[in-house]
Amino acid sequence: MDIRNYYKVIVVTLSFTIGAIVKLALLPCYHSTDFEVHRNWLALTHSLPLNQWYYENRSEWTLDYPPLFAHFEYGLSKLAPYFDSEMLDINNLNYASGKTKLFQRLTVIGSEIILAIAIFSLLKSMQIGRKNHDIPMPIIQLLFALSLLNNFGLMLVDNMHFQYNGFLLGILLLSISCMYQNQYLMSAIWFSTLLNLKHIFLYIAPAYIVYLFYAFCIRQSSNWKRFIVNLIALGIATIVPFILSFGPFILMNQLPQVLSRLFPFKRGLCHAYWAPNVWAIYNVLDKGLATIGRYTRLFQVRSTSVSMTSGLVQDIEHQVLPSITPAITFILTIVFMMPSLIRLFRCCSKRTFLETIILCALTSFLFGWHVHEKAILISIIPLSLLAFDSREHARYFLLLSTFGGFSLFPLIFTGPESMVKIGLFIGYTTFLFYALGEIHGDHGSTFNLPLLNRLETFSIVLLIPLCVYVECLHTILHIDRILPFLPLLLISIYCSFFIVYCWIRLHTIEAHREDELTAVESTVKFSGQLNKKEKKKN
Amino acid sequence: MDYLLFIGLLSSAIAMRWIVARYPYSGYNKPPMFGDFEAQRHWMEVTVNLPINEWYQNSSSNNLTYWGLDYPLLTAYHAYICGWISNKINPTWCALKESHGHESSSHKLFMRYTVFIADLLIYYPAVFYVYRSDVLNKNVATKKLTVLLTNLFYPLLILIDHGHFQYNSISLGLALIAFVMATQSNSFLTSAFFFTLSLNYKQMELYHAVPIFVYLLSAYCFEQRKIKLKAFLSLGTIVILTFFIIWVPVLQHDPIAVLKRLFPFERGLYEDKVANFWCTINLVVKLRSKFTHEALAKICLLTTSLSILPSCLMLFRRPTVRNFYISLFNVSLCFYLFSFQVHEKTILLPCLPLMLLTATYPIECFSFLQFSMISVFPLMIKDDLVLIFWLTFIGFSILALQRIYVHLNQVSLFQLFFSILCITATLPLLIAAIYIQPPSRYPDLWVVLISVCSCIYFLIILVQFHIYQFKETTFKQNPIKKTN
Repeated sequence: MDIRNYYKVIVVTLSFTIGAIVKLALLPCYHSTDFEVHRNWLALTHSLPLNQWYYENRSEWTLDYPPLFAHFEYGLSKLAPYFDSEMLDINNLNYASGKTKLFQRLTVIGSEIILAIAIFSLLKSMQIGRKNHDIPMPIIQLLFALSLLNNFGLMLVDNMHFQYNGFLLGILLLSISCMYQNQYLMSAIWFSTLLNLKHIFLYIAPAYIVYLFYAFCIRQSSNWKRFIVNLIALGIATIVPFILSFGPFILMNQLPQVLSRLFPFKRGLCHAYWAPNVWAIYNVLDKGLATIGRYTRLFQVRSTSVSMTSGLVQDIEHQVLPSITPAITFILTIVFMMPSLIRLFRCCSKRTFLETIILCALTSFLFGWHVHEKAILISIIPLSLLAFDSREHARYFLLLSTFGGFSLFPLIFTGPESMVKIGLFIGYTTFLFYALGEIHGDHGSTFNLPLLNRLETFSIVLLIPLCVYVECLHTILHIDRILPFLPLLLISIYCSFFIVYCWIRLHTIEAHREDELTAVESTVKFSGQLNKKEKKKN
Repeated sequence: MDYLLFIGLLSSAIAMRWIVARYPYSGYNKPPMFGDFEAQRHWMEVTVNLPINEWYQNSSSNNLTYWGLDYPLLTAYHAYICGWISNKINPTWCALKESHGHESSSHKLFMRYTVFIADLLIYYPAVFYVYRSDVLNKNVATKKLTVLLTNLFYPLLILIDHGHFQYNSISLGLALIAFVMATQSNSFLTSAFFFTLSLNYKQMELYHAVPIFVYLLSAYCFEQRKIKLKAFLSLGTIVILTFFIIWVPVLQHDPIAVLKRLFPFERGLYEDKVANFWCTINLVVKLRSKFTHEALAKICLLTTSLSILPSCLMLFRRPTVRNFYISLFNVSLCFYLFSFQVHEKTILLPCLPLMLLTATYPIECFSFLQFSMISVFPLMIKDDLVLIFWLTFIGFSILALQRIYVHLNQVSLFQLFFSILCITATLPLLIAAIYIQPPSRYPDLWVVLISVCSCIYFLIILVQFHIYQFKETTFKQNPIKKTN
């Protein structure tokens, strides 16, 4: 093996080991109902035949991921009997023995091997750290691998709260890595597999559609015949995973049922805890105006039966501003995605493609219907790929990572874990600031954190009193009896301002036409005739 | 150094401690006696509810056989403060007699917070003071970083304080401050003050008392074979005054009872299997049946005094900083190996000065620190902390290897191979202790084997560091040559 590949293997293995040690240590920590959700799915895929998977509703946690993920759970359930076969009983609701917890946590850590493989592949295809002349490339690669495999957000959501995001984001990164190596069809296959594992990634499908169509179908083709061939190849590559996953259900005429389970629109504009997006700001504005309206009678205030701050999952009706329907959110998302998609169309390079993925994910996060705060991870992880080479991206990555990570705090609220999450958050964030500051040669000063300006530094410092209030003062001063939703509201609003700010500023980064970093050749231009004419001229 | 790096390391250390705190404590769910956690809770109960003259006395409300107070007064005062706070939060936690064996998750969280606050107030400031003022590694940033990393992330201290449950970080933190202050001429009196405080928190600090006394005497009270009376007298005054202030409440009543609790000679040569010289000898020569109790005590006294003599003499001959730290290590290790009534956890005492020497002798120190963890493994099995033990052990090994790589020009490869060989040879014993049942004739087989291996390694390291101290004592002062 080439010596450089040797380095990369060591780097990735070391980072994975360090990550695995910390994540294994988190074994006995608090886990949310998502743990029971996945246990239920293990039981359900193991005990029931295929035609009942999407009809089963003995437990309230019905199967709402696409069929490939159900098959993944089925594969895991084959290993479960080695630990504790009682977890595979469907009627064993809320079963969480020590061995079950051990097994489930081990599956999360094990499935992150895909993330490690993806990072190895990315290190080869994106050549991270090659441009930097001050710091040796293996060090930058090590810092990059450490920052992804020990990501605070992923650790909090995957290893404490309990989900499988590391595995899914690993597949996304594999797809991006294939794109960087110009293996378009492979990338399309990985992406549709990803869509069939968790349909939340539909958020970034527009970026893929535009880029694949333009870079692969149009630019790779020198004539119309090639274009049709490429288009058909792309179509087949995309459809095959869908056929493998949905095929059996279409044959059994269960497609409507499956789709209704996958897209439950009755859940309301915002989750029980408001994700820090535009609708959180909208809700607060509405509540504020309603209070003003009630006291001053300046404008009409509709009465509603439900309170949007009750902390429950339900439909929200607004009192002053117009109520939002799923259609409105859909239209707004598409409209706000347009600038980034047009930018991709005009300057179609690999880096712009990655930036568009990030922007699409962020736009859907900000304007989507019933967004979970965990969805911020889909924007942060791809942005980290660019942060280690580009100074401007590093700046927004740091901001997004800090505010995104902080907005995940309410997921973990039990006593012993509070200090763990604060300690891990501060440790990880300072490590990122320090590492990226060293890489980009900006060490900050007394009032500035590395790479940020004064206002941004100040806003991060303001997180400290906010954290102190949310974690202890709120309960000590007994404000939780009057306004129980206040801390969640404050975190949502504060973080949403800065996430919107990052979103706007990310649009303004100048798009690169050519990728100077990649070692692979640039693509052939469309319209071979033009090329021939240019050659004749030269 | 960058303030960002400081904050990052500190919060990672805090996160590590709280992750360990999530695991069970000693004596969890084990009535009737439970463990050290119950002992600490019981001391809060006794100190808050009873007047001070009854704290160390056997009475109907204070049964000394159920975890009677056996640490000096500062522990009692600390327990009093914690008990007072716990009474404000929930009176059932420390109700006299009714709260025996109280176990609840909110109480566990409260107790973990008390250890955390003790760390925050005493241990972290001590560690950062060491970073800023340590004379041994002055101006060499990588060495100071090594010492800082070891101090913050040494797993045994974390496992015992935040897992098994004790308050070692208070006495160890105060002792650290005392050691570093002693090396600076303008603060040697404050050093004596802090050391007295540390001694009054846990009487085991007597292990360190002899070297620091010898050092303070030799460095500041002797000048060309004449005693500097002023320095000597002020030193004595500070120590006696501090003792007096702390002991004042008890002096009126019965100080002898306190002393009897602190030094219980009735207990026996050793309790559990310890990596002690006597435990190891006991395999061949059954000491307890051959000698009487008093004879054994006298033998221990004799051997301990003889063994610490070389190191103290060398320190007195040449009181340099490095000699001081090595001597602290040698003397406390001698005490550990040859003394009476030694617990496994007292291995922390030799480890403390070794943490200050990590940058000077990287391999010896890191391998000793790892071996100290191995020697405590039986305790981890009892407390159910095996998983977190392995994780922190492996994590600390990775850290150690990285620091050894940074200091690669100072290390000898032979030493590296030897240490790795010793550790990997002992690791199978740890795995066997969990998974393989020992034969019924020797039910403690694995524990004894682990203790014996650790003891042999400790003896080897003891000899090695005596050689280093000898080199340091006879080292010819060459004004041009820079030491590492």
